[in-house]
Amino acid sequence: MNMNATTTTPATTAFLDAVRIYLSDLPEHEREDLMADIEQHVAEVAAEWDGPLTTILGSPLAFVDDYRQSAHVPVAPPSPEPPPLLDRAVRLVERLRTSDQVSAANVYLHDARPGWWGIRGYIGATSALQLLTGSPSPTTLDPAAHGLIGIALIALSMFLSIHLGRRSQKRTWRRRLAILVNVAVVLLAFTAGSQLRANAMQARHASG
Amino acid sequence: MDAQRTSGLHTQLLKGVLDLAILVVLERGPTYGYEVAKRLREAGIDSVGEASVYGTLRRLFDGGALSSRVEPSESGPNRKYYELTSVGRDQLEHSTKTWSTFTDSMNNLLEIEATA
Repeated sequence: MNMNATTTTPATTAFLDAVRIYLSDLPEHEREDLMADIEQHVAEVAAEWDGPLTTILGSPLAFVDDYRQSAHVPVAPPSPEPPPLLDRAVRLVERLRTSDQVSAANVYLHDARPGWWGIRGYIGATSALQLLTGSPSPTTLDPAAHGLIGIALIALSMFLSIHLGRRSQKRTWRRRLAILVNVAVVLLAFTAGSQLRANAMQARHASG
Repeated sequence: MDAQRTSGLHTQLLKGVLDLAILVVLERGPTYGYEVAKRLREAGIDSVGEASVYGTLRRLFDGGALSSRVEPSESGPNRKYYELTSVGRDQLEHSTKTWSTFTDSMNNLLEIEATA
């Protein structure tokens, strides 16, 4: 996909994913050629329209049906042995993903991403400080406890995390780096939490 | 006739002449799908689905009436520009004549029946 940061949203991704599924019977080169057209179109619509995409484009299924009709592309024959449970599950997920309410929620989540990126940086920095200092209590949740250097490190970590979040929308390798950072932050937080719990148990034994 | 049926007839009529409408838009020069759809909307041809524009472009391209080339865009994804070929220009000329003959005939019929 080749969209820029202003046009890639969870709603556009969900719409395009669903369209790709409904076109899965087409030969790959034809499908990808068409998807390039549709990605461009959806990006243009998303850049100009703040509401749910389905208001302008219709549902992904209706969009694909319309395309097939006008391009004289036959509708895919039904699979001889459709897996009913899986098929129903996919349809349900697609219906949820492309519903107006979910699209609206996606817009809010999309707008809230810088906040999440900031929290990721904060958690990463405080967890790292917790592990480095080996503090027996979760004082690292209070940046003031580490003085100016601690506050500066936490602020730097939050800044870098937000910066990475913004840049990762444009390039695939940055997106992969962001995923690695997410995993690293989760591991750091988990390890710091385990250390805190061990410290607390040790303190309890010592006092008992 | 209620509004829903009128709208349905409108859509069917437009679908029948969407090839011609798109060829007319492209006669002005090469352009990309979103711009074609936008110009059709601005001209009042807004009751066909946006996907129909891409389906029709695809069919015209497969039929040799259009050529295409991909160009980078500063504001987003690459854009595929469509352009009329000589086959497309012949089709445009032929379709325009057919459309004129058809609308003249229909107008005559409506006038005759209205005054009868």
